[in-house]
Formats: sequence, C-alpha cells, structure tokens
Amino acid sequence: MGEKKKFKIDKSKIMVSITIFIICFIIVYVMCIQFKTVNKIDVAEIETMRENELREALADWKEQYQDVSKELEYNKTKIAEYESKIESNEEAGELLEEELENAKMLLGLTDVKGEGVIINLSSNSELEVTSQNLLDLVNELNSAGAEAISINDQRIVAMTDIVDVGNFVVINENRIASPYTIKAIGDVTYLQSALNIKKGFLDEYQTNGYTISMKSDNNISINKYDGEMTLDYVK
Amino acid sequence: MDKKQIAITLGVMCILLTSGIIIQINTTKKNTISNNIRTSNNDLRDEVLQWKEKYEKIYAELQSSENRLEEVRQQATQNNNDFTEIEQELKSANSLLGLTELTGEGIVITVADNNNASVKDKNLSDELVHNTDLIEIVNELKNSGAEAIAINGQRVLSTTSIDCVGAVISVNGEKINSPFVISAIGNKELLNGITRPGSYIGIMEEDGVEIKIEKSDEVTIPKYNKVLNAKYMTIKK
Repeated sequence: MGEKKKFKIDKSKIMVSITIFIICFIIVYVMCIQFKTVNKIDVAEIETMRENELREALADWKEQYQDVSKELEYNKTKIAEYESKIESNEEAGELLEEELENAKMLLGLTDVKGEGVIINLSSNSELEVTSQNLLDLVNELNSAGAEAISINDQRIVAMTDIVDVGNFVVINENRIASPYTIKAIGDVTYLQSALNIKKGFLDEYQTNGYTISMKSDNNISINKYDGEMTLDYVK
Repeated sequence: MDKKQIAITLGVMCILLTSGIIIQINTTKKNTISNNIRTSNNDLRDEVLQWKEKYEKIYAELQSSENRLEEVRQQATQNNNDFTEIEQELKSANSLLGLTELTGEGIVITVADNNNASVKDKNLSDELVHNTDLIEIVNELKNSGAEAIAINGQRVLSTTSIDCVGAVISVNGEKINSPFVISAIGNKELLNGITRPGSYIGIMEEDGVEIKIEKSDEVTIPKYNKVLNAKYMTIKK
C-alpha cells in the first residue's frame, strides 16, 4: 500500500511539473514576442519625430546626400584620370601633387583666401578677454560653417589649443595679446547672421560689456600654420 | 513542506511575470498613443526615410570609390620613387585630416551627468555636463599633446563645433548624450595629467559630475564620417 501511494504522489508531481513547464514556456514565448515588437518601435527613431523635427531631418539628409554625391563625383573623376594615366603609361605626378595640395589646404598648411568675416575683440578697463572667450568664439564660428580661422594670424588647426599664460593668450605656442583680430572664411551671409542673431554671440558679448565688432569682407587672407604636424603615437 | 516550497516558488514567479507583463503593456500603450499623432506626418516621414536610405547607399558608394582611388593611386605611382613619396605624404595628410581610423596609446575619459542629480539641487547645473565642459576638456587634451580626439565616436577636426541644442549636445552636427566618452591618442602619461587635482576635470568631479579615466595602449579613434571639402576658401598663391 505504502509503495503504491508513493507512486501516485510522484505521478501527480510529474503532472504538476509538466503543466508548470508548459505554462512557463508559453508565457516566456509571449514575452519574447512582445519584447521584439517593443524593440522594433524603439529602433525606428524617425517614427516618433514631430513635424518640425522631420522637416529638419529631411533638409539635413538632403544636404548630406548632396555633399556625398559631390565628393563621389570628385573621386570618380580622379579615378578616371589615374586610370587613363596608367593605361597610357604617363606620369601621375601632377595629379598626385594636386591631391596633396588640396589635403594640405584643408589641414591649414597653405595660405588661403575667400569671403568671410573679421571680428575685433579686445579687453577694456573692466573686462579682460581670456582664452575661454576665444575658444567660445572659435566654436561659434565653426558652428556657423567656417572653413578657416585665425586669431592674430595664428591659424587654428586640428590640434591647436588656446590657453592663458600670465597676461597673455598662447595659441600654437605663440604668445598673443589684446586686441584680438579673428578672421574666418566661410559663407559670409551665414556667418554674419549666425553671430548677429538676437541673443547670439555678438549680442551677448556686447550686453556683457565686451568691446567687440564684426565686419564682412569678400577677400580675406588667412595665413598658414607654420608648425609641424605629426602622428607620433599612432600605430 | 514540499507543497509550501512549490507554492512560494510559484507565487514569486507569478509576481515577476505579472510585473513584467504590466511594464510591457504600459510601454506599448504609450507607443499607441503617439501612434495616433504620427499618422498625420506619414508622408513626411516616408520622405525622410527615403532620403536616409539614399544617403546610406551613396555613402557606401563613396567608401568604395575611396578604396578604388587609393588602389589606382598606388598603381600609378609604384614605378617611381618620387611619386611613392608623395603618395605616402598624401596618405599621412589624410590621416591628419581625420579621414582614416587611427589606433595608438592614449586615454579614454568618461564624463556623465550625476546620477542622483535632481531638480531640487541648488547646484544642479554643476552636476550636469555642458557643451562648454567638453570644449574645455578637448582644449586641455590638445594642450597635453593629443594627436587625435573623438567624442562618442565623432572625430574632432579643426572645423568641429560642440554645440548645445536644447537638452542635448551636438558634435559635427550629430546629437550625442551623456555619458560622454572622450578618446584621445597621445602620450598617455601626459594626457592623464589633465585630471590632476585643481584641473578643469578635477573641479568638475568635485562639483558632482561622474568621471572615469582609463589609460590604454589601444585607443581607437574612428574616422570622420562626413565629407570634408572647401566651398569658400581657395589656396592663395
């Protein structure tokens, strides 16, 4: 009798386990499906954008598309030019020089000219212009699409730092001092409106008592960076 | 005793599963609500998606054209030592410009908004990371000899701006969020110096911003993922 009873309990225990197992399986399965749906919704960030954001995003993608397609055209021309040189066994030196020249221009290793703005910012009896102000201004100009910037003829390149040392500002390891002349080449209309906007850079600095002014110029010259650029820590 | 244990286990499981399901239902509900708003902008959205796809396609094409250009360049210059030299120079110029991925020794700094920051805090602003903080950190890294810098995967170039756009920060026009991971290649000991007490980062940490620094021999900096060209400047001869 005792043995039989034990057997019965075991059987029902097994039944219970199986049922629980099946229920668990189904629930987990349902949860998985739900998670997947939720994930899908999260991934499509665009789906949750509002109208203004959508318009902005659209303009942004179009602009980026145009940039890339221009660059692609440029590359294709270059490739075709190189290929014809290879075929005709001609020298490709000129082509290479041209490409190198362009890269050096973008790096800031050549003198450049173009339209843009010139900003004068100077310390006065109450306020001293610090490296932080100049950093702010450079960031603002970059935000407005500046292609080349210099401060008192010190070219701003990728690894340029601007710091205070005593009463001077040091850029590219050269000491400069107030008054500061900041030149920027870029879309002159855009640069001007971006900095002149109400509560924008100029407005804010003037309100705070800085001596600052800006003028546009269709032919600004900006000096090259005359230091060396190396990558010593790159493998 | 056995039954009790089973009952407790089942009870705990039920509670877990139920709360899981409730959380999920809530999320889905939220989504259905915004769904209604969404339907009105459908056309616009489709257009954005189309342009995004178009962009991705042409960007992939650009990548392969870049590889091809490098190939023909090499082919065209392989027989002449002078040209090989120029070709090498061009390659390193492109690396300096930020058009290639770079790896080397350096540091990785993570700065993040304070987890416990609340609207009630008097100095809430100090506990959060602002675009000006990132500008300062990047400037200090450059001052310590950084050769290449990226913030959350966005390469910092000479023309990069770090802007405040409402509640988020944008770098190269791409929106990024806290935590901000700033990677820099350079002498790792020198770079690490920017965290000394009293430095900009040191003060941020005292103010309650969460900061983590890691020196590494293998910092990888991604390439600039947009097009770099000059529309307004030309070389002055």
